[in-house]
Amino acid sequence: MLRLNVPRINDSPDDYAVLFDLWQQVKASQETEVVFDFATCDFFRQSGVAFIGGLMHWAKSQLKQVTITNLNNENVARNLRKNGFAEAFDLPAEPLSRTAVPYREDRHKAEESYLIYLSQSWLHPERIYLSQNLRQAILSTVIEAYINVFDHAHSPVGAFTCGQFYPTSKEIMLTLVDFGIGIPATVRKHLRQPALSAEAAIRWVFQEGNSTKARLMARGNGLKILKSFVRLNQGRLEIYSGDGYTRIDQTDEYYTTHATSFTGTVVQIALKSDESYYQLADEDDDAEELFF
Amino acid sequence: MNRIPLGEQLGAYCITSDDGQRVYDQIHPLLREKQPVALDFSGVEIVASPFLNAAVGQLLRDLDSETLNTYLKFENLSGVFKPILRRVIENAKRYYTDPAYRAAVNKVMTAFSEGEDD
Repeated sequence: MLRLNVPRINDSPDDYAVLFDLWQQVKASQETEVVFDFATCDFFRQSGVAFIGGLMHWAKSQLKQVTITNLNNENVARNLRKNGFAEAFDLPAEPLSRTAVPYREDRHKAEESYLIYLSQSWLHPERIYLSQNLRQAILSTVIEAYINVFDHAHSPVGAFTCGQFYPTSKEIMLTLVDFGIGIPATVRKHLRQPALSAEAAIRWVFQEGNSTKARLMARGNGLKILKSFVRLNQGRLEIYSGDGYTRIDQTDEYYTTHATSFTGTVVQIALKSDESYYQLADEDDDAEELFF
Repeated sequence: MNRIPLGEQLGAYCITSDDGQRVYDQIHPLLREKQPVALDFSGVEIVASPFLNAAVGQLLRDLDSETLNTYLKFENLSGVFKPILRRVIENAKRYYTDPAYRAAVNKVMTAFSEGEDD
């Protein structure tokens, strides 16, 4: 039996190093039973919920039996009971909390269902005021990241999402995890450059026009659009894939090698829910415009 | 004017490349005949780039900017989505008009083995 210690999980690169180490332990183990032990976990953010949920399904896909034990911290346990995680793994559950952004699993691409989830759960109108424009801008941006998972990642278990809303800082966060082949491997194969570093590969996908799916038409806008919006909104976009890590915010665009490698991809988006952080481009809807 | 009511045809979401392809299949023959077309986004709440790549971006494969500026109009498209449309068009222009860029992409695609599906 492989017993994994799930500690306190926040959403920094160090926390992701811990999560990726858990994945590596599962990957390396020959054991057929994996126990996720929460005995020391006293704090568990949306990053951990999405990743551990995905990891449990990934382990199952490797024909391992998974169980959760020692979910002793009441705050952590209550959160998991009320955010859909417990229900997903047949643990005792409670009705979804109004403040929780539910844990979600997508085995197959379901854009409309995902948009409804984002709109009604993550950006719940009773919880967060957003103008129609800002709501549309956020939804159209995040759906790009979701579509990317299914167009590029080849994740055998699909995509895993969890979000969080922080009323005090007026920040909304979303973590999207897949267990696919990752951006670096996709780009290396696409460019036929097996020695390309993960850092350089992730940088490549953010360059204009680059896409690993440009077979029949020009593509490759999704991540660039996400980046543009995050900058406009003074938010933050972080991507972990392979051993590459990038962090993009309003002033900085940072690519580096992460301490612990994870074959799949994690996209973490933090956005300001305050209208003052967002301004539409000065565009007149009725103007006669030349787009081409 | 040939008006394509996207909200009626597709509903509130114009996001997938499959839907974009359906729109492209409607408007491409009309635009090739230099018939005016209006894409009417009334009732559309969310627009994403896979849809625009397929519906609009690939028009640049065999139609030039002057023709498209003259005959293709976008009606009731929220200002929220105009930057996405502009980015899609710029990207498509580069792909379809820059021989070096297209050759590089095509070379990579040709090098892909059969059965590769990304």
